[in-house]
Amino acid sequence: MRKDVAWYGVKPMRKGVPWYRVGVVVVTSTAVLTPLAIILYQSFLDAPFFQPSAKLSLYAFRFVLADSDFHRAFATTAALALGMTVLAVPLGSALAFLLVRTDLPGRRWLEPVVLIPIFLSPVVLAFGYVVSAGPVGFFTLWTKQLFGAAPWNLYSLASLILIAGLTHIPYVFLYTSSALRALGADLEEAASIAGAGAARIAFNISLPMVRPAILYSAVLVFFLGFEIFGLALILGDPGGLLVLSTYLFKLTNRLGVPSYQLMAAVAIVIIAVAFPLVYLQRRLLGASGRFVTVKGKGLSQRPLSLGRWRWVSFAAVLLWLGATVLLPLSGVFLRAFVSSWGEGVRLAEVLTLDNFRDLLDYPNLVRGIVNTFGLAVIGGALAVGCYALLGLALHGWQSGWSRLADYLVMIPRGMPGLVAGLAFLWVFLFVKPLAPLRSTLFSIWLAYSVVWLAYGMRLISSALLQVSPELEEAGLVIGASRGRVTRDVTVPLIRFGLLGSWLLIFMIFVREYSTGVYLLGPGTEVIGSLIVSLWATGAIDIVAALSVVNVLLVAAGLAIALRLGVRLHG
Amino acid sequence: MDKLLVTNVMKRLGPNDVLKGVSFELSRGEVVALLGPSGSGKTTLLRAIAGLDHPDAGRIVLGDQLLFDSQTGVAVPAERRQLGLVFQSYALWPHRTVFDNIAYGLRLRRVPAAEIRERVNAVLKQIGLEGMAERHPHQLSGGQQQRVALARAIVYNPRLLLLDEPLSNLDAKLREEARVWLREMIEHLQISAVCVTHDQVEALALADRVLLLENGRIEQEGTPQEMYENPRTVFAAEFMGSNNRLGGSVTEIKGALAKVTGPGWELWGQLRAEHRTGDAATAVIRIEKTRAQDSPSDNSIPGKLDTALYLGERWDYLFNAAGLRVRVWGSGAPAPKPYWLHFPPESLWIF
Repeated sequence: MRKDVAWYGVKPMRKGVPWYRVGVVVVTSTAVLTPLAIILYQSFLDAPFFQPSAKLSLYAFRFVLADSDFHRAFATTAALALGMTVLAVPLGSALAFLLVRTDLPGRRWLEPVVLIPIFLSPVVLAFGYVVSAGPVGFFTLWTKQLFGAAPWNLYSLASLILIAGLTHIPYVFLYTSSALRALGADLEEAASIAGAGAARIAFNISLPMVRPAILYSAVLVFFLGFEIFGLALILGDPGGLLVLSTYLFKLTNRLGVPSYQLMAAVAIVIIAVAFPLVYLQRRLLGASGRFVTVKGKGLSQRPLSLGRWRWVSFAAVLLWLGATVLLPLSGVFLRAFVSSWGEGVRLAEVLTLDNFRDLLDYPNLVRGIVNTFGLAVIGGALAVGCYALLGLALHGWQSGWSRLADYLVMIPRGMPGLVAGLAFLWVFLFVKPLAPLRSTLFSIWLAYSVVWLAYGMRLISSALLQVSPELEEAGLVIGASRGRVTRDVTVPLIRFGLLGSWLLIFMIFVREYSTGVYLLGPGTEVIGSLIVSLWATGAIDIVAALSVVNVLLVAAGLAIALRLGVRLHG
Repeated sequence: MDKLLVTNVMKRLGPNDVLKGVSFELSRGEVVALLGPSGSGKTTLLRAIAGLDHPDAGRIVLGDQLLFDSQTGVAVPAERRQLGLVFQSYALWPHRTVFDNIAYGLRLRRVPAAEIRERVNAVLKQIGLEGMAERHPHQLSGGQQQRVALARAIVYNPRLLLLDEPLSNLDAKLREEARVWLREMIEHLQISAVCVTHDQVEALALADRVLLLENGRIEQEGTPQEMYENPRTVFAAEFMGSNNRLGGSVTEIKGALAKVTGPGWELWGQLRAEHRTGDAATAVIRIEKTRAQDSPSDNSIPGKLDTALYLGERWDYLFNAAGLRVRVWGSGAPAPKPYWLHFPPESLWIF
């Protein structure tokens, strides 16, 4: 063997910089980092950034950290996040085991149904709970008529934790079930032959093997609890419960003048807690994938028999669905079709379509509906297009740039919608050439697209994962350039994946409410932010009608997605 | 068709040296098989020739074109090497018809539409898939897909054809037919080809020359006959065929012959490695050269029949001879009687 040849570290052969790829990464970083930078900058000023007198100072942090309301909000948030995690993780794991591994009746049609809470807007859900089970809700009053009393208080911290916990079960289900599916059935069959029953198998074999996925979903739920806004705004407010996001929201009017610096300081606190959680999730997600590769084989999965627990489990699942989907949604729909409701009102006498007619009388509400639809359909397509451009730019590219982009994509996840919306408002105020765009739907679209960047990228990369690298290499060897291969092989092969992503982004954009709150103005109305602002004015009739429209839009998207066989998770 | 020259190619993946300096030459119109167990670096070498991976060091020249040279930093990208590659998975594009799969290389080369139709139809006829042009890959059988993959790789007259385990995705019966067909096609096309395989029968049948790779190095190279009948190492002997192995020590050397002795036996054979009297040695013989007979002769050991397996075309006898396990092939059911196992000295290799 000749020794004179350089052994390692031969330089990369084609030195040409891939400009298209670098360009896409630079544009993405700008869109992601500018809002973060502006919040950071604002948090260290002693006045709003547009005031010439604004100086660098720690005043905002000092004020916020000394505020007893902030302390209470922080404690409440921690209790809420912890409580809902404790509730959602065991129940979600059990649900996943029941649906994936056992002979639970109706598990085929239950699968998409249990994911519904993910696609419902939290403000709509929260509103639904108020009109169903609030002090004068439909079911509260009916229970009083029947039994003389309704012994619950919807506006307590316990209720908030319970509702948040129950509505976040699908997230746990999502990750645990896909890990369970990747597990070979033979591992369980071995235990079954050794004489273990379904429950034993669940606790001794299946659930321990998907522990990384469960751990991941626990961190995810805790993180989502930390960012909770809609549920806490509507269910917490009457009882005086503040969480971090609602504290931020209330700050707007606290001092009478725009207290941007305080909002920025709170936003930074939220981001500072969220980032480590996002990073932890990323680490855990990698670990959960690695764990699943230690699996058995055998695709035919004979479901484990639940025996006499079969119908008991089925009833429990239905009970949960009743409490998290049926109860709030039936309230929303009932409330939308009555003129008023309260003690002594008889349902048959108040039925009406007036609420929907009223909706049409307000041009801003009509605009809100049209905007939401357009934003979800066209904006959703554009967003998927951008995600695809970024995904393709990073596809099969090993370099410092692509690793940087991996981290960039995570940053928006650490910014709750409310904070991101605020940040984008400031971007549009601060960067003068962008100012005219603030009152157009572009501002909303940009904010939505950035907030959901990580989710969108996950959809795109799971579509790209379906394309075997050999199919692309075949094109290269035959003589097609990289670009040509992308056009002729990669993109046609991920077409269905892109369509599915579009439908999912459609639903997400229809559902989204918090990101638009600060950007709400004439021309930028969307259903979600309109509900938040109308709720504050007490216009319950209109909120109910808007909620119905919102739910129907999501339902339409969901129906098409299921019809086309789109997988509801990336 | 051009001559391929691969010089001292090295590749390191993580902590492993996958290729530790491999050199070989491929003349015009020749078929070379890169044979080796998994992890021997054969696929890495093929991908380096194709331009899909770049080695850490070495030089690859095709005809008068330098494809890769680590010292001058030249690396022609895969799409400009003008090669044809048949993937192990075939890698047919599922969204294109058979016709469009094959025609793609011609379209890239801006061949006029009428000529494309003509050439694709001609190659479809050649591979016996006329009338299947409008089908999609998933509507074809494994064997048909393999033919389409070959057609796609040769339709634009590549300078060199690369085949990555071309038959491994077919079931056993089909593989034999495809082997014959593939050899005929290659001869008919008079194309130079490099074929990666882990199956020695495939390598023997397809190639003019076999390169046996082990641990990132070339263990031995030669014609299929040389490789089978004249292995230079135990590894080569073991990899190329089925053998009986007897471990002992050298007790006598006479010119090219040596005597190996173990507990209760001694046999003469061809000396294949530098040995001195007293060295430990391994005697290896092809199963088909080992014979079972009724009476003792030169170079034989008494054996007791343990069991016999009926394999259809032949019987596989298992003997216990002086504590050694020896296999012999025979044509009929064995009779329960004492046997002597004969090891012809010209066929017994001593390593």
